[in-house]
Amino acid sequence: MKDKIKLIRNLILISIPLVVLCVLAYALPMSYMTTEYVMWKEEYENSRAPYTDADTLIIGDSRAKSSVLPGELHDGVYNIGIGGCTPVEMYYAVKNYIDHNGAPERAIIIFAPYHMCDIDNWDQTLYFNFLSAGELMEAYTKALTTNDTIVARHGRLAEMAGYKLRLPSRYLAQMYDAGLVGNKEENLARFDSIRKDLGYLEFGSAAGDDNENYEVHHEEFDSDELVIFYYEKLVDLLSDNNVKVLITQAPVNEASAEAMHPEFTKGFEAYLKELGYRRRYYNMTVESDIPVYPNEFYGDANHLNHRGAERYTEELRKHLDDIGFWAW
Amino acid sequence: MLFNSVEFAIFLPVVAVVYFILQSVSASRKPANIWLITASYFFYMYADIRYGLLLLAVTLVTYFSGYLLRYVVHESRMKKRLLVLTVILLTGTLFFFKYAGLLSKLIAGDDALSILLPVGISFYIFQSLTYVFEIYKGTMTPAGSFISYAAFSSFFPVLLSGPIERAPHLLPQFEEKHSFDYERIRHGLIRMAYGYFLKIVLASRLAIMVDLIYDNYMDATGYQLFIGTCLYSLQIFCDFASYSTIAIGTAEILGFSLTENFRQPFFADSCSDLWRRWHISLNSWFRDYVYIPLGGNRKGKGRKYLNILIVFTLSGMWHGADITFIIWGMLSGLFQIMEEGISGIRSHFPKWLKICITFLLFTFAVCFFRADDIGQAMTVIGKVFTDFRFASILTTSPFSLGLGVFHFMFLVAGLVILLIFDLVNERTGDAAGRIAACSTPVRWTIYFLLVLMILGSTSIGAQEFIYFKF
Repeated sequence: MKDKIKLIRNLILISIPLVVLCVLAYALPMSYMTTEYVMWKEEYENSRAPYTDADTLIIGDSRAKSSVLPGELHDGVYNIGIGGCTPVEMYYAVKNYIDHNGAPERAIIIFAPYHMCDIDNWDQTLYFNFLSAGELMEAYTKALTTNDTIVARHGRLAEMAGYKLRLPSRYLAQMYDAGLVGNKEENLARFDSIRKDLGYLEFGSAAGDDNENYEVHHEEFDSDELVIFYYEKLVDLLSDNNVKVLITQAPVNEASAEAMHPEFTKGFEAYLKELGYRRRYYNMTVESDIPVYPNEFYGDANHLNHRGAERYTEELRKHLDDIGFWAW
Repeated sequence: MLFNSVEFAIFLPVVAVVYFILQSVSASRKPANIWLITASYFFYMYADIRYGLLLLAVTLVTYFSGYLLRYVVHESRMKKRLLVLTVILLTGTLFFFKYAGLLSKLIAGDDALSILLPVGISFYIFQSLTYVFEIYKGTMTPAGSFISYAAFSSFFPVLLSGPIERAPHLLPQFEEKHSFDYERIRHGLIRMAYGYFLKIVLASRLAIMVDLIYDNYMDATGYQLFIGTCLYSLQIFCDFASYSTIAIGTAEILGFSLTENFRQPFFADSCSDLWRRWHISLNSWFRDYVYIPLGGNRKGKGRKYLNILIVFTLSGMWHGADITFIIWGMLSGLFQIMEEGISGIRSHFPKWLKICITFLLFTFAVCFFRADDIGQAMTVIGKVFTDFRFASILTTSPFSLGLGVFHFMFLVAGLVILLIFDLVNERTGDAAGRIAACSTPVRWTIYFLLVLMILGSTSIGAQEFIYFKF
């Protein structure tokens, strides 16, 4: 027995460096993570303790985040979109928001059509620890029942554990690159900037971009079963909480509009129309038309620059007035 | 399941704790062996559930073959036929999985069959064959029970990349009781830590440099390719020796003693010496079951040289379904023959020179092992000999070879530790034991140094072991 205790004691002692690194990785993410993390962190905190008393949320991915300037749209709007997220992450973000703060009155959902087909940043979701262990397991379990090859791929459970434990194998490289605390100032400034802009974040700052966006790579609307499941779950969650919903689309640039496969666009529109029909008793408006803006309004191939965001926000504001969105 | 994975960090303690509990509560070995079989099949099937069927088939074939050889077939000609049949069945299976894909590709081109190569197949088939061979030779009796045998043939520490254990050495250990032993477990853990050090601190970093040089071999100078190939010699040693060391340490924790697979091969002063120190379990397997039955050195020099060539060509074929491996094997045999031919001259060389020559010859052959095809190997060798560009020695910064300053210095420090560890091993035979015998402050300094170096290297990312593909 004495030897067994000695072995356990020595194993604990030898694990101290590991524990120290895990604790540092857990405690100082804003100090060593890249600026991309800040947006996730801001949304994570906002969903648990909102920065403003918003009654209208902009929900979606980077297209939503970079297209709508909440301050110029209407009073009481906050943009909780996250670049790189899919409806999977956004469902949990909204659920947490509602659980902690109660439901908003209105929500505007904007997801890039390709995000209904690809989960391209799940590793980043894990890396940023945006979802709790329970939420991850729920998504993983659901993914097992779908055609998913990302969320529930072989070895994912161990990866999830590695991220949750903040193992050095996952975080040490970044901690080293940042000199452990080297990114703190920049990250805090970005955090404040996002809050000041009520959740809006510019993704590309170029004065124009004529490259093609992600959608052009899809020849048809090959939607991902898991994403669609969560997209509809998100819509149901909002409806269950009496939230008035508008599903609308952010514009794409001319270069992409010309290159997008008609079958893809047709399939996307058909899906949304069908969703609108299936949920026709919800207080929900579904708009599937994808506006097209000149290339000069794009900061990169996928995102509006600030000038583009101003134009889109202005057009959306008028449109919302026209459809009586603010009336309840 | 990889030794360097989170899964294994959970798997091993669970297996060990349950194993010791079962040993302490039951007088019989059976429950503990059943637990080991379960753990081993889980370990093996973790990557692909289909792997388990093949392992089970190999286990059944060799177990019943051994049983028949000992208890049923008594006539020597029939015994021989049964042995040949078993060997054909197992090596045929191995050949099928290794070569069918290649043959199909040669015949059908793009329509070739896609055949899954089960990891570790070369290792456990060779290990299981030792059981049949030894029973045939009469040097051992069949396993006391099928459970013991199945535990032997599927033993997870050696399953994927060896060491290829001999049945007379490992099998009886499944019929012994292994109780908790602090000193043994500590020794095993030190060995495992050293194995992880070899893999994570050294091999993973060396791989980055080697891959960068070989991926750009057309643009690299002869000097850079020479350095890259020398580094590959070190990489493959660190990579493979790490697996063997972790396997030996893992088995030691559970109470099993495995064969040493590497004995400081780069301290060898001749190619034949090197092959007695490198992948010892495979080379001794070929020596005992191929070279000696072929006549060994008992039938004259010419026959001896032919036997060496046969053995090393087979060893090349065992490694992979590619002509590059066969050339590597033939070169390895050829260098030994040439060495014998000039043994008179060699005897006048100082030892350090012989060590250097041995390393360079090994590196020359290993170029074929690393290359994607013969064309690449020939280009690399051609550039080293005709386009060395001595000026590039001065212009090639070591920090430009894929590792930044931090990781490069880490690598250098690691290589120094490797040298010290190997020197101690060369002199005493047991560096891990020497560490365990140090005073507490020294011992713990070494422990923390190892752990910190390993943790500091984990950011490079887990990589598969090179020998998995064999």
